Amino acid sequence: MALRNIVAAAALLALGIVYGYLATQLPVRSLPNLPGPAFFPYLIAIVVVALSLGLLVQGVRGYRRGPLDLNLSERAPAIVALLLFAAYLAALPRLGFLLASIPFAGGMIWLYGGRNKLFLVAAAVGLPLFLSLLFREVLRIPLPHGSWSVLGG
Amino acid sequence: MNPDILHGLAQASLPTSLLSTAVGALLGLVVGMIPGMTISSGIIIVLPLTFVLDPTISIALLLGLYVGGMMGGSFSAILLNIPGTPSASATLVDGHPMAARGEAGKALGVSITAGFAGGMFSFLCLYLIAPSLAEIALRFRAPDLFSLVFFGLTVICGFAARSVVKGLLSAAIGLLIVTVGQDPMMGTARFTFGNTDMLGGIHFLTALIGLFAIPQLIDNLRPGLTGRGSAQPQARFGSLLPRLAELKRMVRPVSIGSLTGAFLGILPGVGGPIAAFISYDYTRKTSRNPEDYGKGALEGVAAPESANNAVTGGALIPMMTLGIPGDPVTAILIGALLVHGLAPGPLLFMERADFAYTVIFSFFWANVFNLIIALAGLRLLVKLLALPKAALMPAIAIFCVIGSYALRNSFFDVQVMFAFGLLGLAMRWIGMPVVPLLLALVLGGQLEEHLRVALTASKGDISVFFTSPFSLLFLCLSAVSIVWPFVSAHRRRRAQSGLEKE
Repeated sequence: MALRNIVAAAALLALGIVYGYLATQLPVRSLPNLPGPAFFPYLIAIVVVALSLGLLVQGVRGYRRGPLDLNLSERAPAIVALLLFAAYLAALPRLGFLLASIPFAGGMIWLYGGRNKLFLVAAAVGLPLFLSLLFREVLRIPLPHGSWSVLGG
Repeated sequence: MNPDILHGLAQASLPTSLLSTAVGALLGLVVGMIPGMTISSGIIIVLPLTFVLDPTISIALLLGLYVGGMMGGSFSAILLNIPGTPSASATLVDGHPMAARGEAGKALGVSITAGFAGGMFSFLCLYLIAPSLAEIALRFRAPDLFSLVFFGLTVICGFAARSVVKGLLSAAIGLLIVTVGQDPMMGTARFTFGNTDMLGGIHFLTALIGLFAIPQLIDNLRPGLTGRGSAQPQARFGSLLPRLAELKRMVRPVSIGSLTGAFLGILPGVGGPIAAFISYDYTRKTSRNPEDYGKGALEGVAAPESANNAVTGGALIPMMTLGIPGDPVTAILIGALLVHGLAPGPLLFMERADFAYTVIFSFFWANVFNLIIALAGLRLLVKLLALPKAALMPAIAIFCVIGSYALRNSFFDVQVMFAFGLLGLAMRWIGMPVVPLLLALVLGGQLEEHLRVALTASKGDISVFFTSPFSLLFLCLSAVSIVWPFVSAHRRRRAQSGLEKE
């Protein structure tokens, strides 16, 4: 955990410094000595930097030499799921809800251990179809429409 | 009688409201019961509905889910030795041994009745305390409100995190994210990088969906958790309702649990798990037969279950009177009300007292329906423990997209939701709690506004925060909540080193 703390502290320290710098670029629109739009961000930048330094000190004090345990092989399904999710989000604006959700649902069902082909196909098609009908037609809640919506998205 | 109270009762008792409460309670029991699903998952499923439903019906649905979810967690704790929700962790200590020796029905019955008693006690607290507290809160001025919100945030950081530094950092990141968009006082665009989507800022419901749902989806991918649901328990239940002698034995633990839960529920960030363990521990320590605990003592189920359920009403008190959420669920309730133009806080009791009482009485009905559904439908409900994750988890993933898109019909919100999911995973990797970040997203806007209004009114004089008694009190409490975890950690280390020397 100590090494992770060091990595996190370094990233947050950089974030705090960049954020603080960006706050200095905000326009000054207030009376003298009164808080303007940059006032609160300044305070937060100071707090983030100070706390990151605190975390860095904690990390350095507790550090024992050793590799950063990423455990990639154990995390492979998680990485695949996240990539699948990212691809789904990228496809949504083009394909729309229904067309994009079917392969996504299929992929997720497979990842969660659904190996029965009939179940996989039925659930992958049925779930988005049911949700699309429920939200669009029954509840009148808009779902993402794709630019290729003529295809049924 | 106050006409607002009568109107609130009538609204909460409308057939549509009652049906909504019952559906919420049923869904809550189901999501609470299934290991790997949480109350937040249930909320994510119904969230898009609340955007189009009447606020009375929406709040009834969400309250039913909240109350049901708290109780549902104990079913799997008792039957499978797996707590459905973190709050049910204390219940399994005695609940599962009871089930193992063939008293599953009794354990579940005790859990349901104790939970109901805790819930009703917290309803009474909510009904009696909330209006008076709102009246006091109306006297607060900008410095008091700033200090109050600041106190709320620091308490969360102290309780929610093992490391106070990480808790505070989590809240600071939340505050940093709040500043994206238009400045609340002058409308200046901040940190938008010319992107018009970012002008409206980051909606905390979008953030919440990502922060809670995506790490949960990933968690359920761990080896051994995929495939079919948990094995269906083969327990014979027998009678669920406790006998008179058992009810008498429950009085003391339920009283302790209800008081502890309702009180701790009021404190932001404390939540069910802490209340359940404290009440369990206190009941055991003050019992005549402490050696029975851990081996299937009825009192060991009653105390944490009443505490769990009493937390819900307690958490609604600061939410409704001060606009400060105690946990992610009350944060969502605030969001659901804000979508309908209703801002929880002291003004709610002044401007829309009828609606405030509708919420209070919906909470009452949520407890009643919870009891009825749990007792009547338990045998059917536990069959859902066998539901395959392969169907549930993809559905939740799709609900995440629907919920975040439906909020403002924007793809940007969907992308933000995913980005927050990645942030949630990164925070989990470094052991940083996400609850302070979420609550900072809810409270950050108010914090900045009250700070700037107070400083503008005092012409930049910061002594205004120390001259008002309310503000001074909240700042002192904030200091205690920041320093206390360090002091208690230092004490623990000293005690530990003392033990090692001995």
